[in-house]
Amino acid sequence: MRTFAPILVLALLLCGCARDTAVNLEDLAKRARTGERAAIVRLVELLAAPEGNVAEQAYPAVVAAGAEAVPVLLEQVGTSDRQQREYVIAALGTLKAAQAVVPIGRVLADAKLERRYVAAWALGEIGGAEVVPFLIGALGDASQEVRRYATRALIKVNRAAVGPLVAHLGTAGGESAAGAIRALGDIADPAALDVLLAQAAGPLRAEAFLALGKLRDQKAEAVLVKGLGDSDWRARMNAAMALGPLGGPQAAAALRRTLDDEVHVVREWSARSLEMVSGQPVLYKNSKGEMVRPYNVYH
Amino acid sequence: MGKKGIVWLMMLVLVGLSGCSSEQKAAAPATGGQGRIKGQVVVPLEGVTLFVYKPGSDLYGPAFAISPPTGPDGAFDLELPDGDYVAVARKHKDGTAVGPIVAGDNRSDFIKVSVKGGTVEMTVVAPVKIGDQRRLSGDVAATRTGLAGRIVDSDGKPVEGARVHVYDHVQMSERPKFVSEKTGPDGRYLISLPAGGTYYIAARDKFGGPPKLGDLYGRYDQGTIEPSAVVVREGELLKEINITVTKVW
Repeated sequence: MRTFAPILVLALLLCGCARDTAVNLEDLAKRARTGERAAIVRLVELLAAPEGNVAEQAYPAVVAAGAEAVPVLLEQVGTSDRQQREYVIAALGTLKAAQAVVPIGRVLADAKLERRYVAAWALGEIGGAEVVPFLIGALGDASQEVRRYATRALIKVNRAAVGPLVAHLGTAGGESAAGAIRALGDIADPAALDVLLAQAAGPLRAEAFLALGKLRDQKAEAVLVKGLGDSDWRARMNAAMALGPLGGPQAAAALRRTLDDEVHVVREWSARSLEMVSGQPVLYKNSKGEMVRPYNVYH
Repeated sequence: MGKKGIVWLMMLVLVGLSGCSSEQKAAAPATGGQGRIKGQVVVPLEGVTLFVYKPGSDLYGPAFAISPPTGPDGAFDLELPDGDYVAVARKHKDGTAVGPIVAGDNRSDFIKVSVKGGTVEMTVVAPVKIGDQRRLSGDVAATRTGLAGRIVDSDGKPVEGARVHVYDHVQMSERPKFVSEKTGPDGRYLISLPAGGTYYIAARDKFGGPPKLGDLYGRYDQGTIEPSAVVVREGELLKEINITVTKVW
């Protein structure tokens, strides 16, 4: 009995603790749904809980409290606890709290903070023109994850981001410009055509080719046909990809020539796009030297 | 204290623990809208979940709405905004809520349903799935062609127990063409591919089923709507194809 007594006491203590947390969570969630501030405050505190899945259970309860939770969440946006900050910002994004744009934007811009991807995600959920400068500022962030989420958020913001992105491309370079090109491609606003055509002659031409393909404007056909002769095989591949949805007779003739490209995937994408342009089955030589049709990546 | 005493002690602890876990179950999120779908799953009756998707979305990705598991009468009842949907019923034989539908699990056909106010009545049959088309990387004969890299979390730390899903179509819908084995403590993966080509990849900590709130998920992309193409040449092992997984919010 002496051996097992401490184990029993520990186990019962653990049970007691866990049950207490569970009961509180359930009760807190009910009270939070009625808008009780004290319950919401406690739930937001629990978003910092390191043990088990307490924070995971508290999070949906905070979100379920709706707009009543926003003032409490705003008080914790700048918390030094990265886990709590991540949950708080995610909740504000999910609740589309417009009043959170500036504080979340500050977190996004503070390179010392961890898990800032969620700030970019949340701004995309909130949307509107006010979030755009913060997101464009993040396109050149040192963190690849922040850049990815900022790009995606700008795409989600959509038309309101086009003008600022076009202006940004006039001066930006490197990763920041690449992110802007990708965002403009997916937004596919005709207003981006000229600035993307200008990028098609520069170091980011491979990105620009893909973006031009998404605009589906035949004014880009000549630039893309020229891109099929690029010295970089990735740029040739992207030009071939882009010509599929917008190409005409000029593109078809050029794609027939790149069916003989030295790089297998350039041949493959030339065949795929040529099928789209011509509506006819096209064979290309695969890496084993067999003449085959490209498989359909769009099914 | 004899053996009987020890057994009683263990039972006391287990009862206490089970009481805790049952109380920690999260409540189902509330739904709202102008219409509802309700009905009965007749094969099997109990423990079936109805997943509702918007047309055109990934029918194996995050669902628009998910019903609670059916009870002994097989009934389900789900409120939805007006609109067109695709519903599918699924039940895992091991009782889990997530994961791929494999041989022995139940799943219905995809059912198109249109909600325009009022209630749409449905009767759903979810027969047992026979056969299993998914392929783990270990099922693919070792080739020199493949992908390798690391799966990390939002802190840049390696993620253990995650898998890489490889697709050959850009929508990344339906079943992945290949799935890696689980990553170890270093977060590294290695997946053999039968041939070079254009692939699209994602990583996640759960295997199959729609990613849910709190799951870790990440695509290999640069923020664009479509994932980035990973071009693997024949005989090439493409290295450092790293993927960051973040929580699904």
